[in-house]
Amino acid sequence: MKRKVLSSALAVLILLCFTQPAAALLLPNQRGTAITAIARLPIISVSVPASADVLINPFQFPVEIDGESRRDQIVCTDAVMSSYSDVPLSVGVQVTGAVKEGSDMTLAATPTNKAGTAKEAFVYFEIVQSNYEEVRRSLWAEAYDPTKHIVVTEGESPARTDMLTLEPLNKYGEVAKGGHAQFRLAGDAVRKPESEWNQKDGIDVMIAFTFTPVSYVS
Amino acid sequence: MKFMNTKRFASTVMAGVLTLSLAVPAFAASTQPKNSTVVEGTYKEIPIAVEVPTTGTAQINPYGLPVTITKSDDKTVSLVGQKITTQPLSIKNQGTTKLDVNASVTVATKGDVSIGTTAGTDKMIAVSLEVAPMSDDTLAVASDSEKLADLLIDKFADAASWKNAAKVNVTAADTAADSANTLAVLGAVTPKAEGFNYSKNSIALFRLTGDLAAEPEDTSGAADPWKETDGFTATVVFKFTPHADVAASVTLDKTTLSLDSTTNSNGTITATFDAGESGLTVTGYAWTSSAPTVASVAGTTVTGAVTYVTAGTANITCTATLSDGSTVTSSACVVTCA
Repeated sequence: MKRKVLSSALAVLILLCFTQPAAALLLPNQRGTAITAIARLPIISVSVPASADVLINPFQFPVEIDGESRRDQIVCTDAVMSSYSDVPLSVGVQVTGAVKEGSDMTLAATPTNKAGTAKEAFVYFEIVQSNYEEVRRSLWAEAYDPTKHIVVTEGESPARTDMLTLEPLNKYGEVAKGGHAQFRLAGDAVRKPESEWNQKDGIDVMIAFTFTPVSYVS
Repeated sequence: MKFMNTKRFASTVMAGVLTLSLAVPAFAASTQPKNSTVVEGTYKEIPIAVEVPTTGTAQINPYGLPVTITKSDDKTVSLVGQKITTQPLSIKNQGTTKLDVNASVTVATKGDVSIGTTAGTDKMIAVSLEVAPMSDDTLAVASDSEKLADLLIDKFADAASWKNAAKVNVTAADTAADSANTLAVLGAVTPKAEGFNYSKNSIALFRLTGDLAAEPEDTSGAADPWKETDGFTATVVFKFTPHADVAASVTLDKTTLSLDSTTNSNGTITATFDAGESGLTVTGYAWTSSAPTVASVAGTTVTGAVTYVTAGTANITCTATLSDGSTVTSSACVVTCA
């Protein structure tokens, strides 16, 4: 019993030793709050297809892409990016184009409207915000729009910032409406150039995306 | 046996001490002059009963990401767009004395963070303590109310609550505390059989807020993004002092007025009423002259008409009758009649 009393007293004494310094700092009419702040870093996670195919199809033959028959002059495989981030992301794009080695085609700066004699293709990049994880063709613009699209040019890397804002994950942790964006290369080509289209013709396009968090506003 | 002797000895000593202690006042009294009164004044400490959290958490939130707070009913509210986001904090007066809230803040930084009065392009953060007094009948609940915590979360998340918040700006890190007085007045509680009822203004919210660069740069202009090791600890010390209500008052637009029997025999004095913190209104005004045979005064509104009667001086005062039946009188305007 004596031991118990002693050990209890010791415990109280130790407790007092620890509490005393903090209490001693404050007057009887003062109270203190310690607020610890840590940095919260945004999660930036976007799934972007690593590659896509583009086909120059001057004669508009039917081309089977992703189970769908198309007759465009520039045909691109479906590509969708999805944001798994917890912050809205402003999407910037830089497009670098190059004509394949051995080809005598060139990239036009303006639409060819399929006419002309030079072997030219007009290719532009288009990206559209979407609610879907698959491409909806109805969302594509009907024609080239210089305010929304980026023209692919040889040896240059045109860029544009803030093309759209991907919405962050919703409260259920799912990709939100507006958290997807579909993108493609589109355009046209001279149908009957003096130098005929052949297997050597083609382009390589590198599309680099930049994702910049957008601050919430209270 | 020896133990018993010790006990007896101790009790004898104790009896002696008691006898002496009772005898001392009598001795003292004998030195006091006859027909005199000794008035002893002692300080009566006013008990301060305020619930203040000992700890709190905040986030350096460069992009103002939503911080979700879950209430007891599993409903959520979000704090959005705050670059420094603080979890809900409040101070609650649980005593029967109305209190003034004074506070000081000291900030100690971690990582590359520095503190300044404005946000820099680097990791300089501008930090402020905000104290928002509440005045809301929905908060006038019993001390054991289960809904109070949820009510305070809602209030904390409501931007309107912070519209008139008082601020203490932190000027530098690791230095003397920045402080401010009377950031809020906490209303007293009303005791009841068990516990008490808060008044509508017994509680104030507080938080850290501030500004910072979302994408900081180092001195060379290179990106220096925020890291998880960046942070700070703010120590907020609240000091509570009893609040002295500002009473209702009446003031006159003049302290002196000179009249004569010829060209300047009349004058006017205008009274201004200030309700202070009384919440009362005026139901009537009455004007009085200390010497009506020198200068007379007439009026039942804020304007008193003073008239010369004869040479001399008179003090003119205005008394306002208030909505609770009480009266408040102005200081005098001295009228000199030449």
